[in-house]
Amino acid sequence: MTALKDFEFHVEGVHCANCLRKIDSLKQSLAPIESLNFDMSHNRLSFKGPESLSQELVLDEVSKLGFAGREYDEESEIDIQAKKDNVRNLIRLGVAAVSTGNIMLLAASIYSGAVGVEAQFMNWLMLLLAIPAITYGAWPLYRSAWADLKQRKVSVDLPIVIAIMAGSVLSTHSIFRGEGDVYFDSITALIFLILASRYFLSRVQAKYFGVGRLQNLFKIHKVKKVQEGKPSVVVEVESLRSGDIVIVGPNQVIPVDGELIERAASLDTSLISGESRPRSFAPGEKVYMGMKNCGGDITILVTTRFEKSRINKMLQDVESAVNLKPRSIEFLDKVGQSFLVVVMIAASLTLMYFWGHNTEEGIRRALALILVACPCTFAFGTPLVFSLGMVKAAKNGLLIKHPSVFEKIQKVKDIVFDKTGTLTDGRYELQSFSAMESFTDLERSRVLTLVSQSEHPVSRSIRDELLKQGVVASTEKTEAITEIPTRGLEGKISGRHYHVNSHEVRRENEVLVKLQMGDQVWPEAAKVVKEFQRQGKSLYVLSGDNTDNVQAVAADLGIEPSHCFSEQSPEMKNEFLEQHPQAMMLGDGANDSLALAKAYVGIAANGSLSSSLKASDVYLMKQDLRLLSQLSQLSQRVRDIIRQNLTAAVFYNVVVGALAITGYIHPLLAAVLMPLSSLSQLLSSLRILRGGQSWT
Amino acid sequence: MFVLLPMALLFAFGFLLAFIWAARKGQFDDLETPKHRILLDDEKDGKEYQEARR
Repeated sequence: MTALKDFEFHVEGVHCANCLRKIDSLKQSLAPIESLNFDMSHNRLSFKGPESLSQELVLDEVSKLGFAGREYDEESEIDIQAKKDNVRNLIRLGVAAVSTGNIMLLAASIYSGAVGVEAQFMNWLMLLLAIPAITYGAWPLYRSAWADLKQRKVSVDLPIVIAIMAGSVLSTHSIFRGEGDVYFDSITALIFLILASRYFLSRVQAKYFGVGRLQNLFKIHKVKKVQEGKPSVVVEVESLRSGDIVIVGPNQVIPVDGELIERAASLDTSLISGESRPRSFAPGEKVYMGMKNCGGDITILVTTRFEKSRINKMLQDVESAVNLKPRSIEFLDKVGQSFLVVVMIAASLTLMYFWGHNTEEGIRRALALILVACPCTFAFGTPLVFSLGMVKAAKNGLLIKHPSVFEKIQKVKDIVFDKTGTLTDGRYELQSFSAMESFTDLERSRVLTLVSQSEHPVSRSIRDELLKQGVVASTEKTEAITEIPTRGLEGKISGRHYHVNSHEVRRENEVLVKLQMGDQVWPEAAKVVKEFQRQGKSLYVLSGDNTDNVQAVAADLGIEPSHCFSEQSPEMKNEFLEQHPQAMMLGDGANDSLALAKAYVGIAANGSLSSSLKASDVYLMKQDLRLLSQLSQLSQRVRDIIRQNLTAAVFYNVVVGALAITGYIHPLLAAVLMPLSSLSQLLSSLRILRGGQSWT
Repeated sequence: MFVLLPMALLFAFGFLLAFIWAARKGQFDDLETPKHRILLDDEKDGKEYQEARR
């Protein structure tokens, strides 16, 4: 028996039972391996296998199954820390649950009439049970409240901490005295609910906003790799190692970090530097993933693997921005703070009123007020609505970077579209393909061979068209292939010269095929445009394209010609957005990253994620403009539910607060009301997942 | 009551320990895969079943 080694891979695309079945079939194809396991939450494939098993073989088998696999990244310290935190929070939650459940059982018997020694005994047990929840369970709350206090900030955690502290002191005092109110049931229930909602939230965020998922959105998957002494091959970007040499064609995005070799290049660096004009790079200079090649073929020596690239680091920044605590929500903080201030003032007034003649009763009422005036809405109701809203959005293909988007969308007055890739599919496809009589079968197969050598959109469209016609590539040798931007693709087959450009295919001087390239308006775009117009928003088109194209698209969609601006430079777009401070910008393409960042709400459409990642607030994961109207409906619903929750909470707090001040709050009432109000908040928040438009 | 209550709590404590152990072991790390995996037939059993049918 040979020693077995642990193997770990990152495999994307496994979603269902059927996919799992395929993964399980690796047991046969890679035999002998053991303990094969796939973790769908983390896209991790792990198994034990013989040392001789090569990674390439495994990745090969995985890709045969139709999944994208790569080596599992070594876990960063942040990941390991997050994992540990996750486990610890789960344990805290468990501790709080045990405390809460048992205390409630005891409290129920006291409320139903236990007295004397029995009641005393139960009270002491409650105190004992509450200690772990109040100390260990609620620890993160103390920590963050303290951290905020040190920075002279007031957060929602503070009233919770005060309530916990005040309630514990009061209850402990009552128990020692042998009379008075005991609030441990309310306190532990509060701790449990807060911990539960936060744990749930962090899980949701980890699932939908992990770096792995953002990387999914990258469209650069394949790249031409140079092999020594052999023709170059197209490989997965993930498989590149440092030292490999790749070729990046015209208008392609560099898929790795590396060093430019052989020739100089002109690159669009707007993603990295924000600069929109192409820059020249000399051989030997460093180039980064995400830069776009504006010239002819360039050759790059890979120095950094995909996982370690600069863009990937940016993705991680985005992730950490996403993981901001829910309390960072601006609006929530404002309301929470004023709420806290009101409660504190009311409590001190109560205390002042009784001071001197009945101090003890004053303290009791003030503390009761702080305790029952539950900040549930602020503590977990609103963040829960936001995170559920984000989940719902993500499920439908909208990746929302920050919950504040829900608020901002409501205030949008102008909607600005970039033409290419948002209103139109931006794919620059073949619109018509009219072959002359001279375009014989032989010519067809020769042209197919020629265009298969190029990754240019024109070549690809022709290739797809010919393949659709059932043409088989010629085995004849092609010579002297050159591809020059603006001039096209040229090559020699059997001594005859062929030339392909964006409007024709020629053999020597004879035209074989006439082509028309262009992009198409999205079928659903007109509907979405109409809907926004009905809502009274002003729609604009800002495009870098020429006037004819822009006007044609605008006419198709019913956007006023005077609202269309063509041949716009990034600077001009910027200026436009400065004049329209409440504009939502929908953009695609590197030259929009400036504008997306500038816009009140920046929305990046699919495919341009690489370039708009840092700048925008929302990513559309699907090329579907209807997502925009869904987004606005969803934010409306989020707002409505939050308002309803807040109204209910204010009403509840005013009533209960008044009762507490006037001394009518019996511990029994507090114990019933507290969980009830929390539960109603919870149920009300869950409504976000249902209802609204049909979301499929 | 003075015996039963502490006993019940001891019970609860035992389960809490079991929960902590499970959380530490990573039993709650992946809540996604098992719900799909349950739909898969166990291949070996499936074969035996088919052979038995023949």
